[in-house]
Amino acid sequence: MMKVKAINVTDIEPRKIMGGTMLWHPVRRTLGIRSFGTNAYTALNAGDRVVEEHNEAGAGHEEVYVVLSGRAEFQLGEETVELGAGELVFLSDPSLQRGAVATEANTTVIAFGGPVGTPYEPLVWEHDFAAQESYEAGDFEAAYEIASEGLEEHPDSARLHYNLACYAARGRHQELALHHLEQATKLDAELVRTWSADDHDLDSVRERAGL
Amino acid sequence: VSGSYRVAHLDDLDRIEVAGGQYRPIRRRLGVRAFGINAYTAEKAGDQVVEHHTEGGGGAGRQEELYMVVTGHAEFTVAGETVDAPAGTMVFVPDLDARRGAVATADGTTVLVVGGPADSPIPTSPFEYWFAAEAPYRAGDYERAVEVAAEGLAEWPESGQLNYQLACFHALAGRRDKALEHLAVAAANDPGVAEWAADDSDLDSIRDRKDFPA
Repeated sequence: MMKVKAINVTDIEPRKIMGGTMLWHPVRRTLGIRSFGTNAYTALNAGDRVVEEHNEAGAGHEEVYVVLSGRAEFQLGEETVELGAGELVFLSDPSLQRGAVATEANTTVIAFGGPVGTPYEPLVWEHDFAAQESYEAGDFEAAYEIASEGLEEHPDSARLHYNLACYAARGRHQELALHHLEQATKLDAELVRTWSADDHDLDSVRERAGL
Repeated sequence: VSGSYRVAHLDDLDRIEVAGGQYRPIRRRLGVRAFGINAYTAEKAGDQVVEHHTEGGGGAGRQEELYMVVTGHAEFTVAGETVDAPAGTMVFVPDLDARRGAVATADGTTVLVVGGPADSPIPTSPFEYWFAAEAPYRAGDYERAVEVAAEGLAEWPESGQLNYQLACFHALAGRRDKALEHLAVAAANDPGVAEWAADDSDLDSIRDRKDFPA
């Protein structure tokens, strides 16, 4: 398997569609992506369509559109919203009729889509990352609260339990810290052994936890 | 935030300091469930913008990932290979075990990351097949248009629009029976077919047939 493929979006050979005024950059098929849909579109002139009017009821896809350059007016159901470069719009309802017309020349929009029926599973690290700022600010209660939201989706993540143990220990909740350390050790003793070796977050419980 | 859509600007996303750069949560901000989408920003050249990691190990999501540099300039390292990535560059890493990371080479570099589970690929959307067939159709190469669009039938045998497009291409290629077959499948699966067909000159060669949908 190729390890990496890199290309500039506008270098993906555009195909003329919609009567020739809209350019389709077939990103997914060019790069061989299989786990989500992605395509980019360019309108060369203001007034040209840049996203075909359609809905996703057939495929059942959620979609995110990101305006990469130029500006476009999106028609989303009965509502209209104009978006510029760097703006993104998320459409959760596959049956919502959507489309966009460029309001500036050389407008490029990239679309990402995936089926709602087989939801993407949020990853453990998102919870760690979300808690990081509170942790850095010394607000360990908030860090614990934010990261613990992940337990519902990832009850068996050693990494999540380990981090919760750290937040709890720093927040002086020793019993809670020991509980999460015990869970983490059951799930992945090696991870706990390696990570805890020089982790000062756990100093207050190190002895009781037998680390 | 509207009930039917949610808009955000990359500049307005939260900035959470992690791993030498800034994590800019999109998925949780917008509530996307079908795929992973987040951004990362390095304010200064030389800062890490994508943390070095693999997608194959414990804790990782086993996701194939597409990175897109939306502003600035970055240098990616993927499995020992260096990729120079100015804004607009897309770096796709299908190999879960390939170690990947990126350092900003310009101030204000933002990288968008989209990921999906490599172990459960999704079907190609049907429109990709008729979009791909549009060039031969416009060039009058209807045989080739049929060939390209028909690839989609394996995944979407009952797609109204795909069958409708195939009906048009076959009709233009002079294969009337085949055109009517696809038109019948299209009409059975999409209530709009009779209306599209009413004034579509691509179908003129079969318009007089008694089984033409009305």
